[in-house]
Amino acid sequence: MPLICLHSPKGGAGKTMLTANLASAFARTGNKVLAIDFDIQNSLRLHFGVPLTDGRGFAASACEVDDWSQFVLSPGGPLFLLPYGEIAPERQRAFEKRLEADAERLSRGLEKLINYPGLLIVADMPCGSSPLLDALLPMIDLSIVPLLADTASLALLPVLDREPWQGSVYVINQSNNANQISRDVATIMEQRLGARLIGAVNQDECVREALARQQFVFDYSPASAAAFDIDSIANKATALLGITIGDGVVQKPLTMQGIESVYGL
Amino acid sequence: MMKKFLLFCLIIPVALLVIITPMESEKQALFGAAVVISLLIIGRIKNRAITLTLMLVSVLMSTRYLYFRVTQTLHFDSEIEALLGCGLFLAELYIWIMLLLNYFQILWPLERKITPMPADVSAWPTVDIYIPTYNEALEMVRDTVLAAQCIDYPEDKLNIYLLDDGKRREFATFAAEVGVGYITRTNNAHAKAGNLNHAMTLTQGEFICVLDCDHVATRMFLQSTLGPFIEDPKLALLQTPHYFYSPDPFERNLSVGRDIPNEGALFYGPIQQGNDNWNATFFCGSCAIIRRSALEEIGGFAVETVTEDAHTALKMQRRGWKSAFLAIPLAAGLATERLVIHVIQRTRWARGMTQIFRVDNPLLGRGLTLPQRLCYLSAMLYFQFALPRIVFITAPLAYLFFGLNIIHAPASMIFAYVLPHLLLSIYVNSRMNGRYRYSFWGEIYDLVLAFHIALPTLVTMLYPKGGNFNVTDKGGLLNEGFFDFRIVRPHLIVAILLAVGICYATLRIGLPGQPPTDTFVLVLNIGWATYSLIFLLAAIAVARETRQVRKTIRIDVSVPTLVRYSCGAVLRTTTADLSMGGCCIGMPDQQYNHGHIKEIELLLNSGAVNLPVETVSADSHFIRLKFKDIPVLRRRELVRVVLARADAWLKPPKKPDNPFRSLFTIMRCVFDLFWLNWKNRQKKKAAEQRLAAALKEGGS
Repeated sequence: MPLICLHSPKGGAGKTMLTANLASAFARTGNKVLAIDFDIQNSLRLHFGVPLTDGRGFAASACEVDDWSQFVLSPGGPLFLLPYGEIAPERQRAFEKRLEADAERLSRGLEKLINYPGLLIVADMPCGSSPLLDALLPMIDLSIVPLLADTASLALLPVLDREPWQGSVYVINQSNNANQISRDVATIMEQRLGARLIGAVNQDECVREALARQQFVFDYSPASAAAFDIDSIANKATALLGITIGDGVVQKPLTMQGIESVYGL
Repeated sequence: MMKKFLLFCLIIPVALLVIITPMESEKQALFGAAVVISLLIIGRIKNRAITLTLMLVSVLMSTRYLYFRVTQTLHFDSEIEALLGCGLFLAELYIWIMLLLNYFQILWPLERKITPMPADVSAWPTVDIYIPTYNEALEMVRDTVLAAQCIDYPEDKLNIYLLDDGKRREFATFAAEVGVGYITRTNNAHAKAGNLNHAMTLTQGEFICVLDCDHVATRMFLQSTLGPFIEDPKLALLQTPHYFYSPDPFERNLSVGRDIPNEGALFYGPIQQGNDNWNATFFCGSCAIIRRSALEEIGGFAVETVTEDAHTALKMQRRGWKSAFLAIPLAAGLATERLVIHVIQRTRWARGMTQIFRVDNPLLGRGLTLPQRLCYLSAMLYFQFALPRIVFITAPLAYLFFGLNIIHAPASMIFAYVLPHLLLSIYVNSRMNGRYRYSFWGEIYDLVLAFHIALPTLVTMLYPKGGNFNVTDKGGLLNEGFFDFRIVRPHLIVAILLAVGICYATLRIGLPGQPPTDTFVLVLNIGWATYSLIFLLAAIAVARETRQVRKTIRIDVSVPTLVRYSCGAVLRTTTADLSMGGCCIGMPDQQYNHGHIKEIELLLNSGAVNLPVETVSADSHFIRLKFKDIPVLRRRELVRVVLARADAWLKPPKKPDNPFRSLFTIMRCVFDLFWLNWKNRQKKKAAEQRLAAALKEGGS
């Protein structure tokens, strides 16, 4: 089923925030959504209300366990989370080596999840290139690249025409029409990227407030500008992927190994 | 053709028979009742042919009444009775003439639709928009200019000029800042007409669009109005309605004013549409397009009279140019704020129209068709209503106080003749114009003005050359309600006389030694006086000036909006209403209801507009915000949504008229005049008492 992946040549552009909130936006329109964290920082879980002390995830035993679906957590509703988990540095190196050696490792680990009917997957990638991204790229249906509305991101525009960002769609994050530079950068990006720019998220304190409360922006304040912007990006993405909700297809309830270990909040 | 001729031959003898056959009062009463009832019955069928039949019968019955007056009632016992009696007859003659002219005017109102512009934009003509101003505040003119800039028209074919007769520096800088032409002149000869003529020497557009400086145009103004000119090279003028977004004194001061069609609705509806049918629509000074070549042919805007607009149109039509009227409000302005200003404005119109009647009488001279002559005549004679109106309301006094018989006929006879005439004219007018003017309201509009314009029109009729142009003041505000005694002093005097007369006469009813015929006449006169008194009081009620506080027009429009709080949060909501001064937005999120709002961003179709704001008030559902200083270019974007929307001034039509309900509303106005005044006084008294008590307490 559709796999959306968020990656960016530059850190701090809002990949993790967007992954979490897009997942929530997709879920609110009637999709079953799984958010996967491929970033060693393991911070996606924080958006889903998972405590800082909870280090569960697939990465630590990724080499040994064949099917990673057993590590999926269920924070509630039609939303699911596959956290990266705490991992010791030597295990991380081993995982990366394994990925480079065995290109099929990743697809095998995700096979069951990817083939799950009606499950929309949103993946948060580490920034820049990585063996994970290389292994994942062939499976991706849509890759979204967030960019900040600043001049540093503007400088990256030429890079975006190259692999692995070629063919992505783009989102401006932290745009602010009240700010001259932000407005100008947005205008230039609109001209350069054209239809590949699928939206902009307003610079909105609600985003930070929401994370501080371990909530999605929409749940923190449905009226927030950022929540609206993320919703419209989710709608655009849904349209690009051709996902139709409301066509009468009966979705099977999610039953997968490991799902029984429902995360109790 | 033959059929029509035969019909005509048939109608003439019947009509003559109806008009001149004399009848006893009982027979006449029966005849009148039969006619009225049968017309009411066939009147239930709503179609044009029936309406025209009703009009014809109404004319016949009115003419029959007038014939009866001429042949049977003009015998007088004394000179004073003869004088007053002839005066009354002349007033009735005037009403009859106006009735005929009016029916003729509105026989076939032309419901013109928008003529689309040619698809090829290069064929569109060049247009100069003139915005003449003299002493109005920049605040008012600013939005007019910005709205004109929002008009959808090819940029290279549209030029906007601010014609400042006030020669004010801030107008010049404003024009430069927004990028419109600024035109001023060394003298102010011929006021507005002179100002426009001077501008014509400096600009070259094929068409001239005149917008008064408070008339904010919608974006579709030019594209809606220029089509007919391209189709018809002989068309010189297209007038559109003057729509007012602020309430006029009648709407504001009368308790029921908002529910009735406003004063201008009749003129900018059936009357101008009717004129259009006869190719006799005239220019009303603003919201119109004029072909430059036609104007040049007559030497520019007419300067001979104080109503340059109607005269300009008349002069062009004498040269064979055509005129048109499009009954779609495409621009909106400010109504006169106060009754006194309304009176001054109308006095000018009345004088100007009388001037044209004298110096360029539409009945005389060359170039006009008969219908055109009649339509222009109707417009000019309309403003002679003052004396007849005064005669009508004061006429019963002659009998009530002095027993003077100014109509030589028994009361029953008068009733039998006059009632069908009155009832049918009310009924036909209500049927034809009911949505634009409710029954009896015209009398109030006229009565308010009658005492003030009687003398100026009379003087102008005798000496048409004098007088100068006065500019109508607009945009004023009224912080406190008050009763403008000055303006209704003559009305009050006549009202008191009528009231005293009614009381005096009522006491005399049934006094021993009086013949019963006298009692009947007495009752007739009391009824007449009461009718006059009610309308006078309603006219007086208009002088109860109520507060006018809201400065700008608010529209209920839902625009997506970002709300920027000082803390950095940006919430999204929609506006509940929007004006040039501020807006009301839905409360986006309760958890921020104590947050300080720094700025909002209106997400318009044309782009986002950031506006710094100040919070005025907030409750659990709405936040009211006031805009702080808006840079002029952003203000233009706001003008585009608030004022220049294509459908900005389209309003649903009013309920159809019901003469009884209309009369009842007028009575309510009169009642409210006393009741509201009394209530206000009580309130004031109570407030004073409270203040006194508080002072006392503070003192002790």
